[in-house]
Amino acid sequence: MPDLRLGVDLGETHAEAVVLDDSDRVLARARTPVGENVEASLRATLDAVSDGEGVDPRRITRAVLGSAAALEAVERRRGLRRVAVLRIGAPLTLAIPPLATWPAALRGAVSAGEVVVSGGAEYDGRMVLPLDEVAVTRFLATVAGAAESVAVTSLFSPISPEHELAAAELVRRELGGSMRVSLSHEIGTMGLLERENASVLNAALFGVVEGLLETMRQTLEPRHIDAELFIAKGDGTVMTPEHSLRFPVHMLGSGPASAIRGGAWLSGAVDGVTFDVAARGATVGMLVNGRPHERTAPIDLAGIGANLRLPEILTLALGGGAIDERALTATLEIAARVQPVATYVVLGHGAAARELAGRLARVGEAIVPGDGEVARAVGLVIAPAGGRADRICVNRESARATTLQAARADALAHAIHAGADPDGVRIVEIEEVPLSGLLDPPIRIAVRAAGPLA
Amino acid sequence: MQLDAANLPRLALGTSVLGAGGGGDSALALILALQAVAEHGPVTLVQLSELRADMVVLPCGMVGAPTIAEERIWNGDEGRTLCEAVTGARGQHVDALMPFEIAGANGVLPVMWAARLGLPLLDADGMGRAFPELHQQAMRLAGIPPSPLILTDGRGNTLTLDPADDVWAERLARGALAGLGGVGAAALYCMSGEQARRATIAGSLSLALALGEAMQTDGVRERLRAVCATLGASALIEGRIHDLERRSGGGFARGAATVVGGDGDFQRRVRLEFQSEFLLALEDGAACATVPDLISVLSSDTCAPIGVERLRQGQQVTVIVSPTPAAWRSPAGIAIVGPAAFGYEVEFSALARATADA
Repeated sequence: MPDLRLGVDLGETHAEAVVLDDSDRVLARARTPVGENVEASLRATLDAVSDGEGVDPRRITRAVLGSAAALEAVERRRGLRRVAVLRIGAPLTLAIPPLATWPAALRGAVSAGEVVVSGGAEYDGRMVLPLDEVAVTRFLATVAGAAESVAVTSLFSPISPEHELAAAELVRRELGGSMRVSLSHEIGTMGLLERENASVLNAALFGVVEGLLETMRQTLEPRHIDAELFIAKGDGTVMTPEHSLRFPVHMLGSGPASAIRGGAWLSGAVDGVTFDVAARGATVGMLVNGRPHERTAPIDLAGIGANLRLPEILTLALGGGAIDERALTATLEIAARVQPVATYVVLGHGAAARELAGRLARVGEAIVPGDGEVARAVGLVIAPAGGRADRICVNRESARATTLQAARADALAHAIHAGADPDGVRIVEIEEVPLSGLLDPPIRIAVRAAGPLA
Repeated sequence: MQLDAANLPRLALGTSVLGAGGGGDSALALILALQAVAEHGPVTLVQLSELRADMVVLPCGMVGAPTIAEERIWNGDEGRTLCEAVTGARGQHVDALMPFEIAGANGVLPVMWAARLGLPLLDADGMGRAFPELHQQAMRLAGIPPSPLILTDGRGNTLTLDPADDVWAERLARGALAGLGGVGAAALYCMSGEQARRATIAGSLSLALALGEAMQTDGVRERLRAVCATLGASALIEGRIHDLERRSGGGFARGAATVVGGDGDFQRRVRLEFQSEFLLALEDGAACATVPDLISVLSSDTCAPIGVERLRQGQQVTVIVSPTPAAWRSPAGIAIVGPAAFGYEVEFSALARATADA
């Protein structure tokens, strides 16, 4: 069991940090506005919690960082790497070229060139065409010098990643071992366009996460904090720094997930609705069975459709102090569709939070937990590590059983790799859906595992 | 009228409502159609009355697993392959494409193929909704032969088949699909303009466009009213998906869901039986809506249709029922697409107990 634990959230408008002791008491908390100099805000926030009573920075053994850096980089098109976009699937998939659905400015900022070459698999894992290695090599030669990373997406790679792995080997050979590659089967699930988009974003964000980890190290070291570091993911779990270097796209959207988790923990609520109150409005999340409720529809990120797992979020404007009754009623109605339990957790300590809580107390149980203004940082400290696996198998009981077992093992292994305690990790969700439209429909099996950090 | 970047999003919205739980997601098909009209120009929508008697109309669409199609993105030239195979088999050139199924992705994909071929699209379809089997088309009722049945996989593999009858067309296509990659483009019931005028369900694309416009109405209540008015539908129940069971077998995913009534429908429970589409609605053990009437499950928040594969426990939904096109109401139509055709021992009861006007 770690001694002291630090949670730091670097949001778009403010930074917050907490230190928790081994009995989960909040020993220190800090919240500072984030200006143009993010590092200065981080330093100020860390200095503030390090000075807290009972906080000996040397006793901090774990630090969890949440950051909006990836989201800001995409939204402002800043610090993004130029990506060579390789899709393997021709003659299929040619009806829509890579990045064709991206906003022109973002595509221009990210793309170092795009190509579709032949290869890929079918839904049953058959590799029906060889990978066109000549075309891949030719493409890599044209982007050499311009490309700072490579994103590879192969048809049905979640079922059969063979050609993505072979392409990664070609990249290593042609562009050198230091060229970073993002392979779609490690990032997303079925749905080629969204998976490709997520993989390209991932490759574009390699530099952002490197910079962030470096900043974090430079900030922790002089403060004598020698902690094991974890990075928050958009689905409300955390990953190791090594994992985040490979999969920075998973950092997108971590703030809301942390707020929901932190709100749950601080209030003791298992089911309810959380309101993370900031200056301009509240971010509303639904807490179902102790976990943030996830969106089922694809995510629209700066105009890009990507199949990332992020919590369902509503926003409630709170401009000028007065609560817009109509907006609040509409928000509560929508939230109630997902979570009918009228337990409202209001996170914040200002007048706006108090007024909102007072208003919510008239229609349900309103809780304003202590330390709600640093709920994101608290949510980081207590977040579990997670893993997933997604498979398709033929509709035979033996195949189903084997595939389910393999998917469970994969999900558990991924969670452990992301930092979960092997003794505490467990399967939290299994979904089986037959793919209609075929004789003997194959079954898609999706498994999620999560567990506390080791 | 032209189908272009301005109205295609409405078309896709409308076709998703006409799926009655099936038909697949139209979002990807919309992206593909938009790309095709951006590259090749808009598609002319022609009315049945504008067809010359000797024109050749080719009904086409996707067959197979819609979920696989989300990954296995089209080459784009499947329409050309289908038309060339028709020319090969019959010596005729195709003058217009028509979606054989207006629902979901299938209502939109032919726009991509038509744009890339420079062909017009006929404002009609073969189903007026989604059905799971290829022979469940109005052209069968009119005695149009399904042959030649053409299947292509986008990889250059093309089958031109001469099925003995309509049901064999479905069997042959379905049997070939697993080998073709789980999803493919199909064409059948190729016909003349004269035949199309009496054999198809007229105005399907116009209806989908109007539905799409209704779906853009401000306010959820108003939107639901507009959708029901466009379809001539009524609301059956508003409530929460309580129980959900899925089983597979018989060639299609199937299952049942129970909707437990909310405020306005207190203590009512409606059981929905589904296969690839919602097929029966039962209350107190009796059928209150049956296929081929369209049983659609809409999200109560947004009015967006929820397909059978996206159905989840706890969803807050409004179930609406709309009348099927007239062609299906005849005894011959009911024999092909009535409850018995899906294995239910229930009489077709045209909107018998649909209650509570929206």
